[in-house]
Amino acid sequence: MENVAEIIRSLTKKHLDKGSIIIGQCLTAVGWVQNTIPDQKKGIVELSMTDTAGAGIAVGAAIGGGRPILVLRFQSLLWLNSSPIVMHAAKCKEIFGYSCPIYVRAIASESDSGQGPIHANTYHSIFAHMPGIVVVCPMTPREFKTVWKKYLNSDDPFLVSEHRSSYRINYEINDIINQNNATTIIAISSARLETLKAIEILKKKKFDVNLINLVWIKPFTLSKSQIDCVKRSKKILIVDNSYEFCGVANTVAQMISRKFKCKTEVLGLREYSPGVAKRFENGTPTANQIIKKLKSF
Amino acid sequence: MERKKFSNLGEIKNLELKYPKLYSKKIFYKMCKIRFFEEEVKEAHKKKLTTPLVYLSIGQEAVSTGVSFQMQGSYVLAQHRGHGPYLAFNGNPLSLRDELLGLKSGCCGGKGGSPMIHDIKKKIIGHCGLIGDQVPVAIGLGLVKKGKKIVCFFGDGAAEEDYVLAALSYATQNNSQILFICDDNDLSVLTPTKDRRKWRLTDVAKSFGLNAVDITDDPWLIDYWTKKFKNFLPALINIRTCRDVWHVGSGKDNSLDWNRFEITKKKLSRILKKDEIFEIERISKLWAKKVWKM
Repeated sequence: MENVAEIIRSLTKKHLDKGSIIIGQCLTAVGWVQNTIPDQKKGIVELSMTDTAGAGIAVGAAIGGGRPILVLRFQSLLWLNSSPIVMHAAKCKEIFGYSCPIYVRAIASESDSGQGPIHANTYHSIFAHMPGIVVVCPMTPREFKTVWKKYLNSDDPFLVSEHRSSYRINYEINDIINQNNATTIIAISSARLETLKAIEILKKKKFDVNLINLVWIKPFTLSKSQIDCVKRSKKILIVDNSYEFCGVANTVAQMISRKFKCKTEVLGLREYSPGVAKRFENGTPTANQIIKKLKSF
Repeated sequence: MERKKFSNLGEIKNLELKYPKLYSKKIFYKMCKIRFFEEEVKEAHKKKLTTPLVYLSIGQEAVSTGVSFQMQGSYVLAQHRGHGPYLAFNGNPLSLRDELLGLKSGCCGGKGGSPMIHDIKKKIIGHCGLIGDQVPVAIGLGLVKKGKKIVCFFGDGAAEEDYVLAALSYATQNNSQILFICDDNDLSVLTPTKDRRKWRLTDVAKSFGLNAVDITDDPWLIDYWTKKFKNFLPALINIRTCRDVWHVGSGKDNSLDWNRFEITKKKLSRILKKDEIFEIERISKLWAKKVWKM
């Protein structure tokens, strides 16, 4: 089975070969963005090192019907690129009545890779705050394919919160739903991998926990089986790899507890900027942290 | 004032006499339509009939008019002060009026108001409201609309936005078929250019590899340079101009440094009879009144 990086590369190749474009900085440089960019000239637009203008250029291409892919090698660059994405692309359909379908690949990297306060962390929450943009966090080959298919059939801008830890994944991560379990974890992005580890550890201790993989952040979507699972659960923990305050995890917790009258808790990044030295790391909540949170809950 | 020296910047003596009479008539007619339409907006704003934020360009009609004849059929991107380009490039006046009135039948359904107008059928792209945003957007549009010409208007304040400068630099890299027009009234709200920067936009544009010229807002002169540049894009025309009304709203502080509308009439009097000039004004006023008759 192809891994996520290979899936992204082959979907991109098909898109470019049909005449569309992929836009970004240093796309054809070292590693070709973790091997997710096809080795070809056609359709690849190398930007100059200008982030805000770069996003604006991609937005213009989207208005022109080019269905561009904008690649941001780190999610930290979202801060610079956000203006044309949320102030223009996300408002197009509602204000102007025409669409601006742009596919933004925002790539998160883990705090423990020495990125420190610069390129670590995930910032999908701030985009979910704005109307007019789809926010999605795929992690597996099938999820990436589904997101891509939905984008091609949609006229909305997509903020795809990718995580580097997904690129080598060549398997699917399915929900774990057991009617007898009273506790459920809803996990987002790279937190899903640590949640799986936590569930394995807990299973050995004869404590079974449900897992709901949350891919569609906005519009917030749960399947029927996921809703049934939430309804049955007494405790629900939402684990995300972005900050808790004003974050997606908190919003999901609030929506769920209000609608289904269940007890919720959240776990995300701790409230400080990560540093480059190991003692200052602030990465995706670990399996141990998840277990600890469940115990305190 | 020091600014007055720009009233004849780059002028070519007797240029208007080299133009066919009918062409000059069309130039003046378009200037009049924009001016009298905006006079109606001004009155409607004073009566609080429009949405509060209205960005008028009374006094600056020659800029969009001067560009429009040579660039007709192009994609057009303007910014918050966009009524002039909208009308000069044949945007639907009724949709504009309704937008300014906040009606559902407005070009943005009453949601965008004066700074966000568009007419996508006429290739006039909407503006998001943040100054200069349209400059990189124009470059991106050019990436997928290969071979199509684009006109992109922005102001002297927007010219200082980092992303505008970065986009201008990328325009030559990408060989964008874009004519950039800087509508330069030497003020960002009320802060003069000399308090904001030490450089001239045309110098920067030339250093990026764009063809560029700095001229006054004489409509024939603008047409002349547009014609000269339109097949050698990307290019930039910095046009010195002055506005008769506030940055936003319908108020007025000082008298104009120069009155391009009156200067244009004076130049026209060498081409047209007084009655002909009067008739163009009369017809345009009637048209604007008819549009605004509610």
